[in-house]
Amino acid sequence: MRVVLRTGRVGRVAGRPRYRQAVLNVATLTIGRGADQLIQIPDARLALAHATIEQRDGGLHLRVLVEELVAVNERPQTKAVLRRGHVISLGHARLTVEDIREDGVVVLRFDLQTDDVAAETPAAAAKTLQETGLRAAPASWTLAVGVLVLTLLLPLLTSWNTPLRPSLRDGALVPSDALWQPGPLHAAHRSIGGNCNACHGAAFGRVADGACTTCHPATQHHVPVQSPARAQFAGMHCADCHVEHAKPSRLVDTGSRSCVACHGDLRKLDPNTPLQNVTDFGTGHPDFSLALLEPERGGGDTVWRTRMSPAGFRPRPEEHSNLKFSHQVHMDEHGIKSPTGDQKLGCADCHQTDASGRSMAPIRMEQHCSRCHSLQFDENDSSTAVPHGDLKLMFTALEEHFSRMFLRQITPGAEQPDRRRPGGEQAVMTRDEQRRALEWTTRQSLQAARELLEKRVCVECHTVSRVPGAAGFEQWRIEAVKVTSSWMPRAQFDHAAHRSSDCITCHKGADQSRSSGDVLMPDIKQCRGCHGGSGEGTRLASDCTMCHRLHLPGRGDFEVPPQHSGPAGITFMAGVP
Amino acid sequence: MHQSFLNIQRYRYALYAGLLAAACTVSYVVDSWRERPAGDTVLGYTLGGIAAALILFLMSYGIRRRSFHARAGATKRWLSMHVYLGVTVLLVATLHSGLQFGWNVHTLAYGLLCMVVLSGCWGVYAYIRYPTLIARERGAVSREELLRRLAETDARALAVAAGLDLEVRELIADAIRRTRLGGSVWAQLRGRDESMLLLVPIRAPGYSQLVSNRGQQALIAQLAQYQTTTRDTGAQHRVHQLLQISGDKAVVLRRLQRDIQIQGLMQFWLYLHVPLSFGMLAALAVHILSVFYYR
Repeated sequence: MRVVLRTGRVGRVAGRPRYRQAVLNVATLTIGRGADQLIQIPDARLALAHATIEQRDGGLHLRVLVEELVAVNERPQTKAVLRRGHVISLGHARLTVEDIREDGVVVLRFDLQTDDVAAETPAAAAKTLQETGLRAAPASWTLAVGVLVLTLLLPLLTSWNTPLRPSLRDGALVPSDALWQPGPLHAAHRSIGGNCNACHGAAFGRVADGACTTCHPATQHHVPVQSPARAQFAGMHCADCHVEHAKPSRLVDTGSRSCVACHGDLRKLDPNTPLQNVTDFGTGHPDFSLALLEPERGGGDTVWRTRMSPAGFRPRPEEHSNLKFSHQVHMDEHGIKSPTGDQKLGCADCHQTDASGRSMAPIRMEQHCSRCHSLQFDENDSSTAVPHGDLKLMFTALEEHFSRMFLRQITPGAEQPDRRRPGGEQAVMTRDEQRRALEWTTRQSLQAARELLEKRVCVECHTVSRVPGAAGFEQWRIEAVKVTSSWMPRAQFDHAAHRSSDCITCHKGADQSRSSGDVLMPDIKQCRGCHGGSGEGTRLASDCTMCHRLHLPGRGDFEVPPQHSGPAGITFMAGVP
Repeated sequence: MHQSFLNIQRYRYALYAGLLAAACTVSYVVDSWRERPAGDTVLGYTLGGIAAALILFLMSYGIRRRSFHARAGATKRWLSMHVYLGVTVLLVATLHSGLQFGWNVHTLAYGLLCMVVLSGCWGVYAYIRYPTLIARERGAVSREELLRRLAETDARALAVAAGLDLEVRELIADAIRRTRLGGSVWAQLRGRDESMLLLVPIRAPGYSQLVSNRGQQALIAQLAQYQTTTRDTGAQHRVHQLLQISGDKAVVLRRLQRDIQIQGLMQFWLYLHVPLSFGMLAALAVHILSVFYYR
């Protein structure tokens, strides 16, 4: 839009009035009191931006930007399509539309009714913050009330089971009682979702145990439920040890206060307890003691009893597994003789973890030993292997073998049974023949058994003895073998988590051990090389739950104490005495 | 040595606040060996209690400051205490938080507290720095005197211009009309000369345009151009006078603008500090309530 703005008459030329004029080339002609307006009218009655004139759709449009009306030809208007001759009154100024030419150029004349330049002063503006209307009180109220509405009122509406609850909780970015969470839920509890009241019942009450046992009904106790020690747990709640919304996310308060609250000074609770005090793994944990299996020979079968080794391995404990075994021989660096030549063995050739990877699977003769330790009594005939693990079965196998030999009349030695008579449709043996066959078979079997048991095969690994006064197969006895599989049954050790270390790092001297009696378990010093206490900075911070569990299997269900409700006083972790 | 609110009574309150801060820090470090730092441990509750008590005490300064009976010396001591304990409360609250933050009302309260303390620190800076700056900018002259001088230069300019062409008179009047001093909060704090001028071509074809008259530069340029186009020596002399007056006006205007800006900055922090502290107080109340509401 091109506007010719005439301001003040300067004379007459050839009978026509002459004006001082400016040509404005603008999209919109702005009119108002402000300094940024193209036509500035210093009149307090006008707004900073009061009106605009714009050319569009072939017309010249006046638009008033404020609530007031503007007089066009003395008629109040809020907007108007301007034509030639229109006079717009703005305060003490008058804007006349002199012409709207064919080519679109608009000619406006601007007159100030009191054209007194001497009265000009800088427009009055605020010179202090006070004058701008800035006040601390309204801002304070707004902020405080805003905070209260968003973080208290809306969450309370969610907490009180109002109809608003679902929409508040489900809406993204809508304030709900989720705003009160000090931290996110643990991953195990995420399925609860945003329903705070799934666990939080009465206002100002702690999370009731019932909220936990709804989903975890079979939680076991720490002590056998029949034992008197159970009384120590009276009045304890799940939330005494278990935490939620914690950062970093965890479910057990692994700070030393839960376990150590009691185990730090157990004598106080039970003067006769055999258990030792624990304060911290790094500095206040008893030396390890091992649950060793001990054979006890009663009248007949061996009974295995668990015996706790002295703490700290002093004196050095000895295992009595009744097995003869030397790690040193088997792990010879030059290899050990095998059916396929000398072979170097590593730990994993015999020691393999179970499917979970956490603990070691038992070592089995058939799987781990028999490739080298063959049970053949005839070294040239692989079909002559006897079964392992049961002497009776072995003797049966021997008797069967030699009976078969007798019947087939294949005799390994010089002594031969009588041949059958020719033309023997009469196949039945005589009583005499049967007696002789049995004698021969028994003699051969006993001879082979003696060879296996006392000279070559069994005796290499087992303790073989003779039962005084017994004869025949009854005369031998092999001591039962049982290798301890769970050395520290109260602790949970995860081999998988330690896979990156060599076995020998912890099981020191295993490759040099000559006797199966050597206990090759690491002591606490070994663990402390990497594991420190719960507040440890340099080593791996290890709290009680890294190795131990509170809810032990087979103790009986943890009873749910009567629900407590209503407001309770402020208590700091009720478990701490 | 001048006794300011910072060094009053040989930094006595700095010492008290420092001792409190040191005690809290040492307890935190010692306790963190025993258990994970958090707001709900025994120490966490203790630190929270201390912080809440400090906050209530600090906010009561607003009441005490207005107290009719307060003596100047006492007010200065209260202020000293307010400043040092205000910085300490941020430390105590940080230790209370155990550095656990999230999108929740607890972190909101902490964030608001940080903003309150930071705005307070700005206030301390303002009280130390700006009076010197104001003295340097304004000298011993008051703002009213400067405003009077400004009005005087305008009147002189109009008087001199009265004998000149209408174009020059309009130009001078327009420059006075469109001179900007102060204005909105933002304009005051920004302190930029937002004066404008409608440039109408003098004795030449062309378009009018609205330009910035920062430092009266546009006016001076236009007057100088006019001076070259006129042959009348009397008019040239008057324009020369106008140029001098415009230069004087620019100096006075700049000093006024700087004065308004610095005075504004000196007060503005309080418009943040007070509302933020009330918002923080509300968030603190919700923080405490919600912790015990859902236990």
